[in-house]
Amino acid sequence: MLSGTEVTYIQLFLGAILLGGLYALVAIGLALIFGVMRILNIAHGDFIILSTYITYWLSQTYGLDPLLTIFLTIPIASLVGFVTYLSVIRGLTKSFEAPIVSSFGILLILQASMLIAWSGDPRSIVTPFTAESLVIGPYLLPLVRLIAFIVSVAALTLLHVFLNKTYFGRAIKAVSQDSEAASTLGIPVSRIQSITFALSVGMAGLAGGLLSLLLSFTPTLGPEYLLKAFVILALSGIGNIPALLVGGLVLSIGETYGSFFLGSGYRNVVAYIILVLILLLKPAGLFRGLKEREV
Amino acid sequence: MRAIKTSLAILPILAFLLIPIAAADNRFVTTLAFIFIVYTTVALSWNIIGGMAGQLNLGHAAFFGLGAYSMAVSTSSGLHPYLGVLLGGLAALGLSIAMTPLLRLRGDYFAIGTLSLAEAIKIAILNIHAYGIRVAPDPSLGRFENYYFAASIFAATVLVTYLILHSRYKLAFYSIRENEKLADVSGINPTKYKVMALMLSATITGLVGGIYGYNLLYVPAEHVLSIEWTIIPVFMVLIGGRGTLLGPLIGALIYLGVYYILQFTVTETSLLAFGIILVLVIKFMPNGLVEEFLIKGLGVKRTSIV
Repeated sequence: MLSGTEVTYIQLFLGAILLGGLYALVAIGLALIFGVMRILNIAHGDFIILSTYITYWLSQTYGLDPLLTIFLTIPIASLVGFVTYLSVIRGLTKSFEAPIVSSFGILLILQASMLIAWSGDPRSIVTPFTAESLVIGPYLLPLVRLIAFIVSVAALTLLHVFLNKTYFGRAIKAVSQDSEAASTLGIPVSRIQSITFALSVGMAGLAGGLLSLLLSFTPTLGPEYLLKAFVILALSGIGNIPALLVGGLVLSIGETYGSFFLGSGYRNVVAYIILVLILLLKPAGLFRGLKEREV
Repeated sequence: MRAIKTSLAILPILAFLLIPIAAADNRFVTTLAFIFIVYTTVALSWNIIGGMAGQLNLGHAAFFGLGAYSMAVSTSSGLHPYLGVLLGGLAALGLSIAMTPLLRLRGDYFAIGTLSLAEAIKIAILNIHAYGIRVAPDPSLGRFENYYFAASIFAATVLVTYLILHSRYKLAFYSIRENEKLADVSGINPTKYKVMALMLSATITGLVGGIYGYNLLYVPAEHVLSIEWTIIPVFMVLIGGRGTLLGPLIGALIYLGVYYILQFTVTETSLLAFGIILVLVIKFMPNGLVEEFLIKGLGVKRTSIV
């Protein structure tokens, strides 16, 4: 028979695993854009938060089932991403700051628009199954988290298959490995980039839609999710979806036990510490598949 | 010609020194001028590491906040406030030395690393002092004294920027910014100059943070470590033109103009305006307004500005 503390530890572990799947989904969009365009999209977290609000708005206004609303959130988010790419990102100078600063401007625009539209008060979505849990022995698996985990893993698997098996997915991989070589082989690089941007923000849409069911949200939460995505990329590198899933699990397990032992205020500090340590000990080393920017 | 240029440079400085006297009882004007000095000095200090040496430091708020915090803590334990401000500068210098390993990282990674470090410091301090620290005012040190203290930091920063831009340090910084590998093989030690730029930038920012905190008499971690102390200088420098003296000053004027016009309506609106301006400037004039209007538009000779 397990003692009370041991049960608590295992319960925390199960919760962390369920959240880890979603974290991997949070990171995939950032990895896609970084891989294909070598752009660090600082607004990534805010696209996620925007999607939580889109889900919130659609389900409140039209009384839709929140879980099904996500199927509407994804195309809307993709469209936002596509328009952003065409109007802002395309044709920026090749210096590495220009896209960073530009996406920072997008971050400000998104955050301000959300504050104007929905104010800074925290919002949350209550579903008919919010309070439901799957009970296994002494452990509770909250149903929304279980659904979020299953949907995340399914989406990542689909994306993995898409990137590896379809012509289009392989074109995306080719551009991310060497865009010049891909271009000489007849791959329309700029079109691949625009579609990758839309795909990336669409994935942010799915992640945001799922998050809206789990946690309350405010318009200023974006950077927090951006940093989670950074940490996962630093751990797992880009271009490898199974590794991303492992990175998501490591982060959520670290966060869960960190906040359990140090107090919930330190939840995010764990992520930052992991990140700074990786950057210091293995600069660019853990970012497998990422070459240093050509000078 | 040289005399004209020198007097042109001295006039605004004189004007700043006279503001509190001219404004006399009008505290609003003095406060406005104080805030202008604070923002502009922080922008000029970011310009040294971010603009000249080209290291996209997104953790600048940590220097500012740590400066304000060290001042608050040391003053609360009985130190003279202005010595506390100096201590704030030293604390920021210490942090920058601790940050030097991050300078090995290139470009994007340096940006992420500094951003995360600043956020981690903010959260750690928020966990210790959730409600900030109140600073007991020294009766002999009021708004005017604070103003002149800040103004002298500002003047010193302008001078330092001017001196860098007229020495071979400028060439070293610029060549690191434009092509670090090439700078390295040309006999410039990139690490040495980057560390130097970061230390200088941090010390100035820490001092400004200290005096800002003392002028406020209340140092909430949420505010002094807020990411806005990174955003605003980056905004000012990139709008105006990075690596120049005039650029950050023009950027500061534009920023504060927009800020004060819009602040009186809704804060979110000013955030929105900054976002849009930033996106447009980066898209249509990536080198900033100085380059775009003064050098290309009006045909001013580059050497007379940079």
